[in-house]
Amino acid sequence: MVMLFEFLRWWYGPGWLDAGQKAVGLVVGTQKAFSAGVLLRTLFSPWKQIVTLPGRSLNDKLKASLDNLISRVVGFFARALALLFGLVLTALAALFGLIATTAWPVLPLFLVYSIYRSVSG
Amino acid sequence: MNNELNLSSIRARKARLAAKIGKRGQRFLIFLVVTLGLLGVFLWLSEGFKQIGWACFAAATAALITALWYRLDLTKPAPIAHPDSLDDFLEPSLLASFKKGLPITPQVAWKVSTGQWQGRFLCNHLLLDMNSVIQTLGTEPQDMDIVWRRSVDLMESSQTRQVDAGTLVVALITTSNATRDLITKLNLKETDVLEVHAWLKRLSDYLDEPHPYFGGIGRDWAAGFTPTLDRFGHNISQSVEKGEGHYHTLAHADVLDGIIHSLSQGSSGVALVGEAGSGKSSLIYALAQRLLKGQDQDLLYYQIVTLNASMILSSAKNDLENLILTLFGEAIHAGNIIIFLDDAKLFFGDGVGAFDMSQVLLPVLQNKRLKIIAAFTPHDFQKLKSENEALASLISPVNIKEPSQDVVMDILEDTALTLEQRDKLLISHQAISEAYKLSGQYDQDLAYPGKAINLLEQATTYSQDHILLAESVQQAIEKMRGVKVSKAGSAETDVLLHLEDLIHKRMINQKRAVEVVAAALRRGRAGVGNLGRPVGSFLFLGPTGVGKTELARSLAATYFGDENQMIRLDMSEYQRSDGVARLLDSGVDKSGSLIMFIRQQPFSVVLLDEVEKASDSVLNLLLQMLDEGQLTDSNGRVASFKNSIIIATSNAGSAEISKRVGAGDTLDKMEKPLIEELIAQGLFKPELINRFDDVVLFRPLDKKELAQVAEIMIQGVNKSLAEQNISVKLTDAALGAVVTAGYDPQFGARPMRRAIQKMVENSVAKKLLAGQVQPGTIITLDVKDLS
Repeated sequence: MVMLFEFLRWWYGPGWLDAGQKAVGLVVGTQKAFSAGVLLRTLFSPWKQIVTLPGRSLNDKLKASLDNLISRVVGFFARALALLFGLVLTALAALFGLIATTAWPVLPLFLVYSIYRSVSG
Repeated sequence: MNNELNLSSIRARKARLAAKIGKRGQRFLIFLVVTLGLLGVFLWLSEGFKQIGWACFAAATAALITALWYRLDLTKPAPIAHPDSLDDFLEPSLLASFKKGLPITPQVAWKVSTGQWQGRFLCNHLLLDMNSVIQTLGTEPQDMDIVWRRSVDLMESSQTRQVDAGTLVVALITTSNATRDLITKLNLKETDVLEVHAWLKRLSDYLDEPHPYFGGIGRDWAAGFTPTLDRFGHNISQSVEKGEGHYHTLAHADVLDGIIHSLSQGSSGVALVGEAGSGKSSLIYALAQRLLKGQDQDLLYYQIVTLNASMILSSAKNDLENLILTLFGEAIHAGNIIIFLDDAKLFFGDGVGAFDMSQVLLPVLQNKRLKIIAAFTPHDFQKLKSENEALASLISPVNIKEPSQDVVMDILEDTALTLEQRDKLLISHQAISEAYKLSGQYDQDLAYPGKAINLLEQATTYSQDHILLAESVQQAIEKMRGVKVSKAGSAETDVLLHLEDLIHKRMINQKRAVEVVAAALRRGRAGVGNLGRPVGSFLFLGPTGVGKTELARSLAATYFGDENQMIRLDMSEYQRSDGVARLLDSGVDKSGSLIMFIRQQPFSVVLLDEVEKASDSVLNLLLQMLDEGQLTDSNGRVASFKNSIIIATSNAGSAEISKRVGAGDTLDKMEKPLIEELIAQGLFKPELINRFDDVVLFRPLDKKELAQVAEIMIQGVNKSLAEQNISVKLTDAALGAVVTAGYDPQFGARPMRRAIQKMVENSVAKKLLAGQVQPGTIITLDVKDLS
């Protein structure tokens, strides 16, 4: 009985708080895994620093500008895609965390209810 | 707080429940959650099985709740804010190991704590036999009072919040007199136990640390490709990410801040200036880890690439400049690279396999386009400064100093864990202490911690039954350095105890001189001498040809294993003012200096002939050498004489010795007045005389003794003839004739060599050439046969 009370004290006290913190940690971790900060800061940077140095003639300069623009566009799309994917996963993680934290206090009640249903039919 | 262990407390019950579930139990619970959950859904959806479905849900939920409780609370209960009994302090797995109802005595506590990994770690690394220790511990519950108090004290002093099994083991060992006596017999001290406890704490802290975050997807997308750098360099940051290489931040944490500050503030070059082995490379690994952690915004996720000088040189013999430009170009273009030049002198044209890239590097550093860290020894950096001032001015020097003994020991312990894992062995604390001690004593080439790590690594090949002992380290240094440090075996003990007899086999008379040096040798070998000074230092006074040099040679042969282990300097060549400079020359540019010789042969007899003829400044230098056992070369590098025997010889006072011996005085009697007289004459300064362990007088040899010298020399001739299976023997009359010819009261035994050569060797040579001697013949020479 003492242990049951201790369990309930923990579950509805520090345990719930811990679960909430873990949920926040999951969201932060997912966001970190996609290094969103770096991707945003370098969103328009050339892809892997692939750049063409401008030549002397106007034609070369135009060609270099075009090449570099393409590199930046490729970089933008790759990063934007990664950011989008990261955003979706972060949102999913947040949703999961929210559900878990919300469901946390209900879980023991669900246990009691399911025992009751399994017995009463 | 009371000293009671309440095993009925909530914390104790939780600990026992956690132990019952265990990791396997947790895995089983998760398995139940998944399978019963899925089964429940299936049954709940099936007509007629809803009730069983609910039962499955109930079981799955119970399993999930238990698994969560186990994971988040039972295994790591939150610290008690206001602890009032012992169970509030005990680490859960230790607490769970105490059985309810069983009285807790020191013996019970020992069994419980050594059943945990922390307890075993401590015992194993101190090489303690757990069964022997338990016999020395108390058997009464009240004996635990002092143990618990000590445990809590240890916990507080190590700034932890729980008493783990390791702490309890330390408390048990250090509070029992009988156990303390036992560890003393094992040549361990209480400080050794505490050191291993601190080592255990560092390991526990490391294991509790979360896995470091080194940046996520897209971290390097803004950085350029580096195909040439990848080929000619090694990416240290990638190695760190993979967990390769052992490195530490214990020694130079403050230096890391300095480097980051320099590179962040616009300096494009940093020189790590420290002796080889002081931890420059290790520091770079630590820097790479710190940059990967992304804590320094100006150098966020920078990667460190070290260049391979030999590979660059062998691949681009004729087009070196272009290759260097390509490498630097890629690093600049990538935008996240710091180039590390290990042993940087190789990149500035100094040494074998070196090339000079300073002309390419100079504009790069001037434009601050690339960040470079170069590792130099103080001598190499000094050289760069004198030869290329412009380049050196662009590099901010950061001095890497040798860490303190405590820090070196911590580094060694952490390195030992890596070696244990790599080589599947156990490295004892005794082996680590021995590696520290012996590397300091016998390795002059490297600085700490490098030299101690090096020795420990070498010693792993001498482990016994996968355990590295102090003896393993001794064996390693004996093999590496050719010295004897392990306890003398019975054969060697026999030699040491009868040294005088052995030396007298090649030395005639000079009993006192032989006794004095033999005693020094025994002191050195037994390790009872002063470790801060040379093994022995003697001033030999006496006439020419009485055996001074021969005794030095015998000493080299007996103590260092070879009579060629002798550095001989004629001090009459050091009379001029440049004497000091010549002695202290590092030998890098010129050869033949004392410093260079001692570095090449640190285990030698240093024989300083005619010491009184050296200039005053040279003699002052000798004072330092005799006193501190070291000299500092022209580059500020210390050369140690602590493993050498220093013998200075002089003929000063030889006339007086001969006169007094002739008058029947003993050497003991004449020693003091003779030395006083030499000091009064200004031949020796009292401070020099006092620095020697002993001043030894050699007396002139009489004719009878010279006959013995001649016999020894003829034995030498026979050794040469042995190859031809021929030997020579002198009749008594012939021997007498040789002694008469070789005797000179002024030069002692010195003319004897010439006399034997002339009279004996020439005669034998003639007989050999004339074909008068066949193999197996013993040539007997009489007076008439002598040339």
